Amino acid sequence: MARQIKVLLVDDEEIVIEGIKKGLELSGFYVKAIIGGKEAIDLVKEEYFDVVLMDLIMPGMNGVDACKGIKEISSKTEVLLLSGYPQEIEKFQMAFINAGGKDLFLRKPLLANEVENAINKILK
Amino acid sequence: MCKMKKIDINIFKEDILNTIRDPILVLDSDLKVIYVNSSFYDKFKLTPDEIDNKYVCELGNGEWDIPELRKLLEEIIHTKTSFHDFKFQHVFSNIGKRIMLINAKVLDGGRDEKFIVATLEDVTEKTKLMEASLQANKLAVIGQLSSGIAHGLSSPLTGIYNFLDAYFKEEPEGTIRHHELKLMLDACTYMNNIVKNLSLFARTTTDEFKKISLADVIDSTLSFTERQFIASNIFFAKDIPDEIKKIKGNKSQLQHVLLNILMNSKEAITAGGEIIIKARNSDNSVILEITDNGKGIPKQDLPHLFEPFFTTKDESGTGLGLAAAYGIVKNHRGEIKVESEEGKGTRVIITLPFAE
Repeated sequence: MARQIKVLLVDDEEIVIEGIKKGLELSGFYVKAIIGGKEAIDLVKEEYFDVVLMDLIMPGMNGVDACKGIKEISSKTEVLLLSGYPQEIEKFQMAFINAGGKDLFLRKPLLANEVENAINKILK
Repeated sequence: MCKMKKIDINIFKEDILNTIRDPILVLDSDLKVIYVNSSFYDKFKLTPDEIDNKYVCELGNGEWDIPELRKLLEEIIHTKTSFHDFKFQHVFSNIGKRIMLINAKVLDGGRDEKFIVATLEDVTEKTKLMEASLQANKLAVIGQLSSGIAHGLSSPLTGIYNFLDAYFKEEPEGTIRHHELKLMLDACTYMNNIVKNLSLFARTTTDEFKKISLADVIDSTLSFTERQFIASNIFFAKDIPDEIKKIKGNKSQLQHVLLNILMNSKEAITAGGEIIIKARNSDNSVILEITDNGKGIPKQDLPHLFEPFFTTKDESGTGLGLAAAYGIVKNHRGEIKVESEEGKGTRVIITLPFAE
């Protein structure tokens, strides 16, 4: 049996990460959801994730800095950006890629199967 | 005011009035033309034979018989007054549809003689520019609002949509709850479409732009829609020459534009018909024309077609199809416009710049 893919969802809104978590879990992923960039870095220190789905605009630490922090701890972890603000994606995409993030951006609203497709694509 | 010496009436007529760019018309109290300046001949492409000694309503083979204007002129002759900025739109056989602004004043010629001096200004272009600018401003404001709504709803909708989708998958088929969840899920899909279309209208997508062929966009769109059109007795005619240059764009967004236009045509064609899709190169752009022979669009609806939530469909439309199309085309640095005549059909013209 293939190893379960471990996914971390990071957003500042609980309903987003819990909703996607539920969908991904139904598809057989191991999923953790956490609010806040700094909290996500702390979690990555304790546990390995194959993929992190990262919100961009969050109070406290933003998605770019959180991505950088995660990559410093776990360089193999792939970080994807998720945002409801396309202009912000445009503004931060280079910084995000420079911070080690993937050149693949997901837009809210979306269903877990779109996240699943993106994860399968980058882990192929 | 400077003192003007008495000048010869001929000098006044030939040299002064003829240097004025706006058409000037002088009528007697029976509304018969007694003088027009050279701009009048030029503007309306009329010869002296067609003007001299004619009543104003006889000008241009009677096409100047504009009841509203005649009423106003008769009124001021009677009351010895004037009117300002009377705007009228008229189709002249020599120069086409024009929007004119007219000022007129009654002058006392002595011995009970009265004249009307009228100056006309062609404000067609000015009016069109002003309307286009107002329309663009309006759409820009609605764009900001749309983008705010789309972004505000994106997170809560993501959550609700995913929970419902998961609960729906978990619920055994055949239960009332399964059916209810399906209803909620469909409603979420509908809301999701609204949010996506609003984002497209507000031009806030980050989809990738590539060098693409418009023929490919057209063929791929038709490949998954043609069958349902043929079922409705609607046939396509295509004229897409091989030499059509490539454009820089996003294929799926442009498919979305085309699909929306085709669906509108489908709705407009009630008893079978034809949709003609033509493309050609202009100086620096590809021009795509989609023409149907459907029922056409009422004139009063034309200025509102690209506004979000404007719909003429009874229940079926969200009113976001053409708004999204507008946003997408603008995002491709292109232009989109609609020409339509009721009872004859509609033509959508899209201009997209060549890929550099």
